[in-house]
Amino acid sequence: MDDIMTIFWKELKELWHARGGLRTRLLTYLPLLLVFGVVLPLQEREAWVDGPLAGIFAIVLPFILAGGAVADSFAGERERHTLETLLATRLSDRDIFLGKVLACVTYSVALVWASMLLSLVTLNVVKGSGPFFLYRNAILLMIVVGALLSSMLTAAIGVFVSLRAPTVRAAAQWFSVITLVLFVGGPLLLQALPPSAKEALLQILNTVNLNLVGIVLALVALALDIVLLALGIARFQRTRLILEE
Amino acid sequence: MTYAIETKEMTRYFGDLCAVNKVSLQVPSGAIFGFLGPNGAGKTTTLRLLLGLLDLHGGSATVLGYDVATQSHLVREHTGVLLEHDGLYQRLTVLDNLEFFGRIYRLEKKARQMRIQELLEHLGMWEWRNADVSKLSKGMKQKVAIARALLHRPSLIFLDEPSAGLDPVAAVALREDIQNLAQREGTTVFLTTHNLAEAEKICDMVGVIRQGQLIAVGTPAELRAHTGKPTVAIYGQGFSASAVEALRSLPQVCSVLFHPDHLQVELEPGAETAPLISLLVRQGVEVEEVRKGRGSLEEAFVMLMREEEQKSSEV
Repeated sequence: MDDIMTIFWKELKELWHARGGLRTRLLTYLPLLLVFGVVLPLQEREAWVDGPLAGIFAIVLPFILAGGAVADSFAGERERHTLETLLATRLSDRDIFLGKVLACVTYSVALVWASMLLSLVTLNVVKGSGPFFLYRNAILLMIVVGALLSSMLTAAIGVFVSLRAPTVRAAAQWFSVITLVLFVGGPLLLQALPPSAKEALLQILNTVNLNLVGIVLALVALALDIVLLALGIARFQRTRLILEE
Repeated sequence: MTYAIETKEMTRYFGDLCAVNKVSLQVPSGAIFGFLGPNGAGKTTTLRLLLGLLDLHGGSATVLGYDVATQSHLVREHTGVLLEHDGLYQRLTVLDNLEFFGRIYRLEKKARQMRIQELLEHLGMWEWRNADVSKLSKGMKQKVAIARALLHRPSLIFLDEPSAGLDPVAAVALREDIQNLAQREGTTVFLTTHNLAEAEKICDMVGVIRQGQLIAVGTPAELRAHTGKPTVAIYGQGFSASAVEALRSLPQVCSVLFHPDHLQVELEPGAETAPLISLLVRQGVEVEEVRKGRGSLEEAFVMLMREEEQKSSEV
């Protein structure tokens, strides 16, 4: 575990310094915190804590945050010519891999949770008096568990993309294409369904227990995370990585 | 004698290409070993094989007594490296970089901090400890990378072209640092280099590799004696064409190179210098200074390469 934490420490430091000076870093993170922590909650008010919007953002945002982090961590290590030196240390392949993934997931989850926490503070400060605004249980679960599973899934997919990409930019581009296919392809497919199929789907959604659907989706995501991470560990072998240098 | 590195017919292929071809090598503990060869000769592949970063396709190798095929993690635990690229994290400071590698090698916090200070002070880099690595010159980065390689007091360090890309002053400074640190810490150094003058000055032993095959091993003096011929530089005035021709006609003279202020004469092994000087004086040359020397390692290296080229063209 110490070795994983050593890599974790280094990766977070690198991610934090990736944007250069403090001003650039603020310019990167402030818009995110402002949009999801201030602007959108103020627009939505009660709907932000009662409706699904905050939960959906908590699940979607990691695809951008963890995706960028994982490209920088895996493809960047190779692009910046630090990978071979790291592989020449006593650390095991698995510990290097897990340390990197843990850092990317933590980075993504921390930013999502910080935004969502800030949105609660914003709403309650603006409200002034009366009972506190708090997320509904299902939304809270989407934010806490959903953001975590989504970050893990993004990191796991991102590892495969980044290990094949020659540069951080290439990894980010490939990952954007995958994200686009996932998030635009799904709705387009739904639109393309014949009206009868759409109606049938709506009927199913109306009758089914949405909480149960959420739990099933979370379990599927968890299983996918585990499988992809296990495949990632198997793929991350120094004797193979050196040949790709 | 104990050996830090021992290989027996170590072999590695990349497809059909045999990058390292049955290399058998012994590097004594505590020595500075120079591994020489032209580009693509197999130097870096050898180094990667010794670190267990590539699998062996034939033969065997032990580093510090550990089998690189089955105990490569132990090899990496007890060795330090400075590879082709310095491998430093540009966004982090010098201290952060060394802290990270100190943690990797499980140095206790206090011991880690003391060791970092000791090495950086010795290398004249302590004032730069809080600077981002991206702000350092190439020479400074190499120094930090040397400190990183020695941080956990390894018994053996691998240096891949450590002075590549450095200006002459920085290269000399780095060479002195490597020599001093290796001596002070009793570390064995395995160094790959193109810089033959550097190898001649710093190395106790050298090995020459060409097209994956080890073609010579020995001390620099042994290699020079084996392949380089003795030379003499004669400084003076009044070198005429007839004087040069007269010198060339002597049986003990292999070649004469005419420079504006001196003649560079290559002699047969065991040849005496005095008859040459007498001849030049008789030819009206005013001899001011005579410098005797053996062929340099560079000359020996070039000769070795030519011999091998000839052998392969004959085959």
